[in-house]
Amino acid sequence: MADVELREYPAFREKYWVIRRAGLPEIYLIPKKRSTYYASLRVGIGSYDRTYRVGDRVYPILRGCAHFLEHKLFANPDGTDAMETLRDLGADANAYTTGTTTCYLFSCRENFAASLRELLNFVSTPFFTRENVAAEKKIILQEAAMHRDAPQSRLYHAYLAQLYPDHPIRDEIVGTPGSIGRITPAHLMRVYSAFYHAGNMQLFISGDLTPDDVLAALSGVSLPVRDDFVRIQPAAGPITKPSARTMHGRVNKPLFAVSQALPEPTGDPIEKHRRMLAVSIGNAHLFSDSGALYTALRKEGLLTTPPACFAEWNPGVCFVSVSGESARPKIVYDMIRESVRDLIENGIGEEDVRRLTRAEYAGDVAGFDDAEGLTDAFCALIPEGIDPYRSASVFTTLTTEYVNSVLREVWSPDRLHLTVIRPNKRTVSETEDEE
Amino acid sequence: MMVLPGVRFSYVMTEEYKNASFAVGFKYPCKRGASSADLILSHLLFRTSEDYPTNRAFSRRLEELYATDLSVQSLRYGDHRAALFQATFLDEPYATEIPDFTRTVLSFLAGAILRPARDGDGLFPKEEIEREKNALLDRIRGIKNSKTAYAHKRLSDLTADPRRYDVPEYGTESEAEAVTQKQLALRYRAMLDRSEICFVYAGSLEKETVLGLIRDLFARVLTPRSPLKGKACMPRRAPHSPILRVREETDGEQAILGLSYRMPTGFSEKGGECIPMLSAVLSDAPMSLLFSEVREKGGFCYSIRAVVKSSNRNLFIICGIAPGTEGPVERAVSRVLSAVRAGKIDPLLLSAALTYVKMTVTTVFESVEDTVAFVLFRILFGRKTDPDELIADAENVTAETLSQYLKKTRPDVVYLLTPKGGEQNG
Repeated sequence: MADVELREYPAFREKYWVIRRAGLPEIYLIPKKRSTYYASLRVGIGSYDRTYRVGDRVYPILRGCAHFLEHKLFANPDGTDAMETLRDLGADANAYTTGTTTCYLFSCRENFAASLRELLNFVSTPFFTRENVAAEKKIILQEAAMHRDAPQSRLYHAYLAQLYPDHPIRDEIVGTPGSIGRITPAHLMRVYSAFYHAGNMQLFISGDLTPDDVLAALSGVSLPVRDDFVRIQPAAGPITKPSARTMHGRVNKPLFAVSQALPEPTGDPIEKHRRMLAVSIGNAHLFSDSGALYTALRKEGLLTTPPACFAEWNPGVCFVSVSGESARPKIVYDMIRESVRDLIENGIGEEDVRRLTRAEYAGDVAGFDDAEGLTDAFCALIPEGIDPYRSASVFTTLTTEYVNSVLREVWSPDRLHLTVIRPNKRTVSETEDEE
Repeated sequence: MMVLPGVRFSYVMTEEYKNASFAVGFKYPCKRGASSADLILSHLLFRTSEDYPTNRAFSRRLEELYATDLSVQSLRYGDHRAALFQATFLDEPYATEIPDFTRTVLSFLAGAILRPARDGDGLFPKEEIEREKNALLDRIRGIKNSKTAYAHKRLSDLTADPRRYDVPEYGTESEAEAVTQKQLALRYRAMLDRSEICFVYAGSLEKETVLGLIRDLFARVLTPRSPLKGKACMPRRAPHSPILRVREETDGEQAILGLSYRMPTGFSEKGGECIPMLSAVLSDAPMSLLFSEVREKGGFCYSIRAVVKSSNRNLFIICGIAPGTEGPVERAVSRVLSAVRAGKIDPLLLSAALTYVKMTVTTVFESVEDTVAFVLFRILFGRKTDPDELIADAENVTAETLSQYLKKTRPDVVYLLTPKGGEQNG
């Protein structure tokens, strides 16, 4: 028997179903009248997972293991490759690993039911041999080299190390050449058996479908179930003192990042969500091209394009970062500090909060048209207890007082880190900061 | 539909989406040495306007307008340049606090394009020009930050034809540095007065309502225009013989191998209809040939892509590899192309490629923003816009079609960007 729950949002003319049936992951079905179907299976394992518990025993996980599993699970015991099988059904498949999650996804115009069954089939039939693991290592080592060569990737990992020196977030998702080299079929199988079961997965689907269509497609499918597994979240450690780090690389102009750890939102999911949205309004005020800071930076020639700003919210590790390119990253840093100080002392005015709230609301609503993007958003937010369709309504409940109280709590000019990658050779004629 | 000679309007009615999108494109003649000016011009128009003379005021107004998204593309295709200005915004029912919202957005867009901010001499303000110049110079110089992007640029440099307007996409550093107020003013006049124009709208408003808004807000450019002369593709140039091999050194871990081939036709030429399927078979479709042969079976790389540069008939294949493996990788790619030339394509792969192309086409038409951008470009450059026709073209492509096409494709340049000290392994 399946339990089907409908959640509706008439103001946006949207709805979705939550489908629960024994032996299956919890399923979220987003109906969209499109010719393409999207499905994304989320497994609760990522690069931050370094240990787990089964019964009384704690087991280690090698760095890069979650990502390695993502690569290797497409191999089937009968010698076929699931990507080829999906291709022959007319589906385009992919997968990715983050700090907390591994996702297997596909899109297709036809044979949706068969493709969905194949998706659940290949993630439940692991096949690791010495030969196929050795072959995959070569590919993953190239992927790792590609990331190490990319200045933006280096910058990202460098500031994560400054923020969280003792947390796995600072490490490359793919692992290190050493850790990749130590991965064996036995290790993969042990970790796989612990994490890959129905209770640690969710399935997100969008397309012109009903719950009956999905249940019919998965009729007879049953994934392993286990109740003796405990996922262990690594501790983040104390908030670190502000630091500055400079590296060199193949860049035209210095790349910089200014970052700060944020307190993890607590409370029920709706309150957590409100706090996250308040922070996003603060980020827009501080760093978007409508803000005073960017106007000043642009006028002084310190930035030629708006900086990239994002907030990441993971259990135990939450932070904001602002990055860009500037000949004088230290001056940019100082100006950001001053803007944060001003934000805490003076807050954001009511008119600005109203304008920014409207913009954020509109951005959310605009995203409801994108079936693929919505599937991704559900995959990222639902496990955190956040409903993407509710987000737009939550914005309208934020008051100026509430936004400013959250921002005063989370921001501090004395906790900002600076990370810089300078060009290998001094080829620019502009004055640069002294190192 | 033709509003006037040289001025078109394409309308897509939809009530299914929460967004609407509107774009206006200007196609005008390329001018050698003006690529950077054209790029700077198109971005300048989306920074300030007469009504919002600072970037901050301009940006704040966009936030007021429910975060209306403005995007601009400046493209060179053959002998012509196109500046495409697009606004994507919430459709009327969802922009509840601003009545007549679409008119308000289009009025803002028209103001940005037709009433830009000027200085006392009626020219674009110098400070804004300097800022856009610096932004463009950063873009040009910043290509080196990505080894793959840099390799792509080098292949473009090495395969460029100096006889025609085959100039770099962004222009050059010296071109960008030389841009003046007067040059921008002249290119702006050329864009407004000597172009073919097209408007495209997708949303829930009635066609006549949108046409009325165009007539009202864009009256300045609603004058008859003569068709532009010129070609969509460069003249054919023979590939290098022997193959031109260029090796450059860099730091880091990976080497980047770039292989360039001269194709017999471009997209808009007879025979070019098979190019989407060729791209899909080579690298876009699931388990495409380069992916399965070079990456999965060979273990040579994580990422390998085939990129078609249609207006100068180049096919680039670019991948990141371990230093010293360029010889085996080049041979593996060569085997892939030989198999296609021999007509040896797994029917399942061909079918997957067709499905991929169909999905790509239909997905475009399920986004108002993508639909408008796609239709606008294609109308301006005389290419098909009907998804059924595009799919029919792909369905007509067989292994034999690709074989015949690839038999006329010639290797041209091999470019290797390798870490210092990396040995060449032939």
